[in-house]
Amino acid sequence: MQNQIMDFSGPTSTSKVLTSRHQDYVHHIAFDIYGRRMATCSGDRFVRVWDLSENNVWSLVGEWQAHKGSVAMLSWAHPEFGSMLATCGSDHEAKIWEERTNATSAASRWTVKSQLADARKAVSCLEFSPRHWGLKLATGSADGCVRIYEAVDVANLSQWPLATTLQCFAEGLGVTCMSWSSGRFEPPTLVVGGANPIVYRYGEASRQYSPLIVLPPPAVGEVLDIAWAPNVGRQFHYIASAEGSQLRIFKLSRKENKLELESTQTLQVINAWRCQWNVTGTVLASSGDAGLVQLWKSDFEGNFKCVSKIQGDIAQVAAGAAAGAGLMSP
Amino acid sequence: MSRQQDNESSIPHAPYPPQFESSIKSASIASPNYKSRSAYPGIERSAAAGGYENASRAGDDLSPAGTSAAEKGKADRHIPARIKFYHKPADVVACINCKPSKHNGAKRTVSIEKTKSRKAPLLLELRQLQPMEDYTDDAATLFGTRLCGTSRGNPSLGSNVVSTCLDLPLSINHSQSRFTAATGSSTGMLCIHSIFADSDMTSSIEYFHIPRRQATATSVAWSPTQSNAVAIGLLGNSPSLSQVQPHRRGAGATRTSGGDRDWGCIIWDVEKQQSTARSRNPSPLSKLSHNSPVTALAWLVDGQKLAVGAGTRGLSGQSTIQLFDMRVSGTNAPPISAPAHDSGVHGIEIDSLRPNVLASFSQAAGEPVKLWDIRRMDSVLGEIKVVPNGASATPADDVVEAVKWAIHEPGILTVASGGTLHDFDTKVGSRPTLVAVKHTRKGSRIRDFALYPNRQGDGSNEAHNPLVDKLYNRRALTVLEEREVFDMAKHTNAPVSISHRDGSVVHSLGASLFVEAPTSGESAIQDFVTDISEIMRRRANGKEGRRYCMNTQTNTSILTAELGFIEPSSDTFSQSLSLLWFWTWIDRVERICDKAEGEGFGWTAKNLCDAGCWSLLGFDTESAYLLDQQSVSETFGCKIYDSTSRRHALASCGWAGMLELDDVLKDYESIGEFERSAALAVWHGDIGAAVQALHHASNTIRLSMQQGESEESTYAETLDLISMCIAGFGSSSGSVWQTACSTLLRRPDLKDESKDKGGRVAYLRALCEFLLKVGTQESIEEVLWNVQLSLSDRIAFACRYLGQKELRSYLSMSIKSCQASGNIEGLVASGLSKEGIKILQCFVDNQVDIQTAALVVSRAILPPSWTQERKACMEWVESYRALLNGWQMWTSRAMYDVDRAALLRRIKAKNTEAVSVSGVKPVPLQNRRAQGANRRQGSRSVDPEFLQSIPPQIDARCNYCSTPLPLTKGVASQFLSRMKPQLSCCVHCRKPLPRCSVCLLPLGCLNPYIEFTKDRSRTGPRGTSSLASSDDLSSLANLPFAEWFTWCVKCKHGGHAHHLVGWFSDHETCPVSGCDCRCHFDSIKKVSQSVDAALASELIRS
Repeated sequence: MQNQIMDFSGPTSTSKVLTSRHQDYVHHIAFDIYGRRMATCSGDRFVRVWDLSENNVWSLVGEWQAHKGSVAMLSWAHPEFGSMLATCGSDHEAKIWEERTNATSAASRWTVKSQLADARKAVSCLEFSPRHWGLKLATGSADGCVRIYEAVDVANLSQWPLATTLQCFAEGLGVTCMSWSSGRFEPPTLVVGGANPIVYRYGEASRQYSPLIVLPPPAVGEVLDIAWAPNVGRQFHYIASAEGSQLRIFKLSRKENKLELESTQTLQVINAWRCQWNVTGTVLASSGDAGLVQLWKSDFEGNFKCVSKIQGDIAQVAAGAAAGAGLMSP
Repeated sequence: MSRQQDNESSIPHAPYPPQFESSIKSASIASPNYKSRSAYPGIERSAAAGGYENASRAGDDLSPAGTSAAEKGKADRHIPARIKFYHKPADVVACINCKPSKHNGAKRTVSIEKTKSRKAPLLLELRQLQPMEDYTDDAATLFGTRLCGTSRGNPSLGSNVVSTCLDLPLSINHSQSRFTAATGSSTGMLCIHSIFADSDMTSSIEYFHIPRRQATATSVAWSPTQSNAVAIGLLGNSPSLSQVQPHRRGAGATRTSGGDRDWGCIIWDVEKQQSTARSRNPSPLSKLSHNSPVTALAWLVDGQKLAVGAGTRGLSGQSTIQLFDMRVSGTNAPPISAPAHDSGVHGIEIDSLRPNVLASFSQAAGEPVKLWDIRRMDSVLGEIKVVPNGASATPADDVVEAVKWAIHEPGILTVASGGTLHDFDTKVGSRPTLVAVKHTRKGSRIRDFALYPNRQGDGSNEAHNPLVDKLYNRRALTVLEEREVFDMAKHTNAPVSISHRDGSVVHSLGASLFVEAPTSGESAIQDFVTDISEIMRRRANGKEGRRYCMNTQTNTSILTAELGFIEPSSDTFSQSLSLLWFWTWIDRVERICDKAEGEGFGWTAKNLCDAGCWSLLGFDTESAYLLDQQSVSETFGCKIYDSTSRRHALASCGWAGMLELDDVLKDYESIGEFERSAALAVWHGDIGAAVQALHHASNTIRLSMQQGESEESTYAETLDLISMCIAGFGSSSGSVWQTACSTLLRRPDLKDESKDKGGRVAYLRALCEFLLKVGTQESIEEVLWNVQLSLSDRIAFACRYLGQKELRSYLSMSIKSCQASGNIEGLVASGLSKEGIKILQCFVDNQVDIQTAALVVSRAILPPSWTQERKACMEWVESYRALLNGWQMWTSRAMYDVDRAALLRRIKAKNTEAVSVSGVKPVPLQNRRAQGANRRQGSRSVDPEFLQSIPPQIDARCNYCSTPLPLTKGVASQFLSRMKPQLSCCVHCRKPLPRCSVCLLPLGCLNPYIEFTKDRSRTGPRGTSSLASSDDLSSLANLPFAEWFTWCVKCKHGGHAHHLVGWFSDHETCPVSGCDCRCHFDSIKKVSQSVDAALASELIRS
């Protein structure tokens, strides 16, 4: 039993820098459902896929040029649908990639299955819906629209008809981020971030998505990132919204199948550019400048407090650069 | 305003001195014909305020009396702050009028500063970038700046002189840490600084003056090709200046006639000046812009043309951009001139990557940034209008403060306005588009900014900061409203991701990825350990095959083991402890239920649903009345209540209700809970048993004790003392005993709660206090509301010592408080009833332990009428299964499913009269093949109970809406009644079903309505069809199996069964082109057999 407890202090790993091999800023990192794979995308137009080995070392297993411009975001589909990845970029396109297990070389492993070129401006964000709503993909674009695609046939990934286009914001104001709700027995719901966050829900009767809650805009600027906390059977939903100098957490009650804004918490942070929940929606990570990640947890009264900070080993990056392994230089 | 003018006029007009004279007392540039408010009103007022440095010396003799602080602040606001990067070395910036940085590296600078005359005006500062030492500090920025050089003017200038503009030479290589810079001052002089950024920070200044008239310098520009040519733009005394004021368009202007011949722009040869002896009247290289005030200057990349932003005469107040070609200077060739802005041109920026493009802006509200092509100055290339957004945008936020061209990305123009940096892409198409917006912290306004220069191709191997290189681009050094120099990122890229597997964090900065990099010790990890996700994962994973599961005894042993390693004072400890007590309760109750089934001793509960004390005592019926037998305890002299139902409740709480007290106590002692055993013994009224239990306890401790563990031995001693004390209860004189007992309670190991091992000491304390106050109401109340005791013990205590009315209110109050706090032990009182589900919901809301919730609700079948509760339970179960799947704990999940099904089957068999179907699973859709086979073999019905208790293994559902293709009744609708018996679309969302990969026709699915009506017509009016007994229509499928669809589990391609059989008779791979899946596995033979049989039977039937 002694060992059992020691087990979970296991990930006290040395702080380390993983050489991304990207030539430009990394724009997004996404774990797959199992946490054993990771995909990164960057302004250098490349997508890289990493596997976690048994001894907890990440190794590069695939890299390819995915877009004609910088790749803004990527998302993993649920493994039930196969090894599938969606990427989007500044070339106004979103693409669906599938891994071929019998490919000879690492480069040809990932093949493009579909190109979704409906956006009139750069596609800024995308996310596959949770598994229980089928194989859906929502993309948000700088033209202010969220587009929802649905695969016609799980076996045929080349057809992704556009199911819905939601004009969330005016043309000049883009959609910056979006996140699906994970409510298992609720109609498909998603939150779209931009000038302000808006919650959309699919109406069974009207057979279309309609705005349900328009959340108040941030104090300064626009919403940079939004994350819907995984709901594991709680009577409420959390939505975290990163807005630069503040982090807001919306609590939506879902009693009697109605979704209502219950309360809003505004956390003053140093920098909150991105945010992400853990698997149970109990820990929120926000990240900002200088490689700093803050972890937030709710106390018994439901107030979120910063419980920890994670600092990237910047000195090591500097050392790597001094050794001549300059990543920024081509 | 009038007072200010009075001040100005009170200053005697000083004739412009040709050289520096000590007679300059005031650097006022106010001249009789220059009374209008100028574009740089602050500069005039700097006579009063004296720049930042001087302004900060409040109360100095420098500030003329009558200048209020507010006015000073206002003046201060208008003194321009400028910042610029050197190109080599690229981590040094020159700045004017900026606040000293917080991270002032050298302490010695202070002493140097002090030795210098306070009167000497600070004209220029050099600062070096350095990475922040503590990134986690509040600034959370990557770089700070350190002062590395200052340049102060001649004290004879007077301390009122401030620098107003700044430029750095491009062409001079700054080696040996000698830096040069040019500044213009409020008196119109040009200062060429050369500073040694070494330890001494020595500096020298060359001064150049305009011959005749004092005028504020607005801009300096160092020629990019000739290192000796520096142009300075002067405001002069133009009549049209009134129009050139920032932020105030069309203000009333008072013009005075010019008359004086004056030059707006003067180009000096700075090297000639240095080489030759100082002549008293140096002459400039050339003079341009006669009689018009110059507000902006920029050399074009070739160094031959100078772009000049100049005010014009006339009422329009328009300003122009003039292009002077130096090759024809001196001739009378007029410059190329284009009207630019309605207000003064406050800056011209040349795109270093596109030599023909320049941007100009005006610091007036509503004025756009204009882009020009120097080859076609007659028209504007593009206009950029900044739209302020955000809730707190003020009208002044669209005033452009500064613009800069990006050095890394061609065509990107960064515009600062208000508290925002906007990036515009000017090369795509004709209209510039906004590509990025970045706000400053707290929205403070930007005065000026400098983009980090390009370091690539810089061959120098001098020691520089590699970090600066690495994270160089997309950052800017800004001078904020408060004149702080602040490093800021122009992007918002800080990706972060939390692994769903173990909660490890991966994040990124620039092109680097950071994997699990906690700096603050282990705290980041520790937090995940105490987070519920990690606790659940650890429990589900288990050790040596013992995982948290449906088995109650395994769970209690796991929790017991866990408690040994948790800090007793933490929240996690109390949570785990109540979980342990909770599982012990479940274990106990279920064992009694099992036993009662065989022997039937009046135990009313069948399972957890009605095993709560509330229903055991019969309180769920309104007219409940307990047939209580009251008696008075001999030992304690208080009332004791007893009845059959009370005994049942006591038994469910682990008290001696139905068992012998000795057995109960032995159970507790066997798991080492001697203190609890002693307490129970006392509350049961058996003092002797309590003494014995404590005796056992101290013996056990002594036996297991190693040498020298003093703490343990003290505790054993305490236990002995308490046993003595209890033994003496009642026999000797009351007051003496009471004093002794209360003294005993003050022992440190009884008082200190932090050393409480598993809440045991709480029991010792409780029992002593109970005995101390025995017989009083207070003694009972104290036990009832002591939250450190297990709720089950408290409820049992209530059952024994409270009368019916009090007991009822106590129970309902307990349930209420548990519903508010989410204490899972409340289920002891409520059972898994509707109230109990509410407790569980609050438990999940607070602690998110859906693992426990899912395991508990799987142990019972809820009545079908509880729709809300069943939905919640289903959500917990499904969430928990999804969690296990996500953790790749397939075995744990499978074991959970198997255990659950087995338990439910058992419960179902037990209560045949139970009306419900499975409470936790939707009616599963069975494997189609199995149904086909059943149909083929006639009406061999599958036991519906069996079907319901097995979770689905394979199911067919709609690709779109993910609802199962229905085989249940109750979906009959208008829509279905109109459809054919074989549907080609999903019943729910009406989207098409997939097509057969061989015949390309849609796959069909049963129309449940048709099947239902058909079946009813077949069975006739008797009405008792097979349907009545089952909700499942699968047994009446009217479709021959050959028409059914089947699919490959691997590639998920499929089609009609008979088509696939045909295909695989001569193919091995999937019929879908491009799919290399070898679907032709063994089981296809089985499919083909069943298809053959089905076809044969169809033939026979026809």
